[in-house]
Amino acid sequence: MPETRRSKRFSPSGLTEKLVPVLLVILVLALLGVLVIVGLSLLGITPSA
Amino acid sequence: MTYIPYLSTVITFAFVIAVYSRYRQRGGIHLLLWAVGLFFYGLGTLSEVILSLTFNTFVLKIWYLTGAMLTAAWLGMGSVHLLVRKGNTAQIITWVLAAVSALAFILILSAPANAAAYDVARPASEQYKDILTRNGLTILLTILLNIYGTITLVGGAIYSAFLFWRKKILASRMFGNILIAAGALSPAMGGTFLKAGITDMLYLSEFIGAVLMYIGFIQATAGSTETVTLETTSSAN
Repeated sequence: MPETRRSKRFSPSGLTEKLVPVLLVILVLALLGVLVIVGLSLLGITPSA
Repeated sequence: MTYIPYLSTVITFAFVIAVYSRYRQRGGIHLLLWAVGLFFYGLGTLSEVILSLTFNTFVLKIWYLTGAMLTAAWLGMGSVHLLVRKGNTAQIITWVLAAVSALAFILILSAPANAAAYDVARPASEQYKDILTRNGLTILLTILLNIYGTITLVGGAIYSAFLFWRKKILASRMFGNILIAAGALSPAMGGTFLKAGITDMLYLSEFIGAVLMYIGFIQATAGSTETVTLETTSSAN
């Protein structure tokens, strides 16, 4: 049965329009950075694993 | 800096109660698993409090088991249950994680510890490697559990925020998920610094992580009584 409830939509302000994508990209890059260092520690390259 | 784990512990256990209360009200295995993960988080910071007062081998082992091995993985497991709705994939992974967690428990409890080398004036994060003997399997499990937990928890929150952003719906849940992602990254980065030999950041990163995730959870659940379209989105409900 199709969903009939209404969406709670929002219209982003000028600041939000730019800020959210930037925040998401920063978070993805930080996540990748953490995973790279964890991977390096798995290989024994970091000073202490 | 030793007061920071006190604050982290209070905030985290308040967070546990909030998430578990929501589970009691609404059900949802993801909420229960998040409560479990947060309980481990709180046990880890509580262990830091105890270890700043006195040394106890069992407490150090609980600190390592919960803080370094189980917290991220069980929080991430909650996100997997939220995002992977089809089939029984999430259930299977949960049983695998439970088995791995049991193995980690056995490995840590049976690990030799050199209690005489512990200095209560220094953070546990600075000296645990000299106290607790970890074999290769323990280190491997620690790293794999953290990779799994970080990808699923942080990645899941980023993915949810992105979906809300793309559809331009539920701004409060979108910002809540952004805060949860940032909060989850904070202790992950603290743990990463630890792996890189920088120990001072761990307690602060745990505190920041607990605060950001709690605020994110409150933000994400604030508008939950609104009528919404949920057929395609996942969220911290």
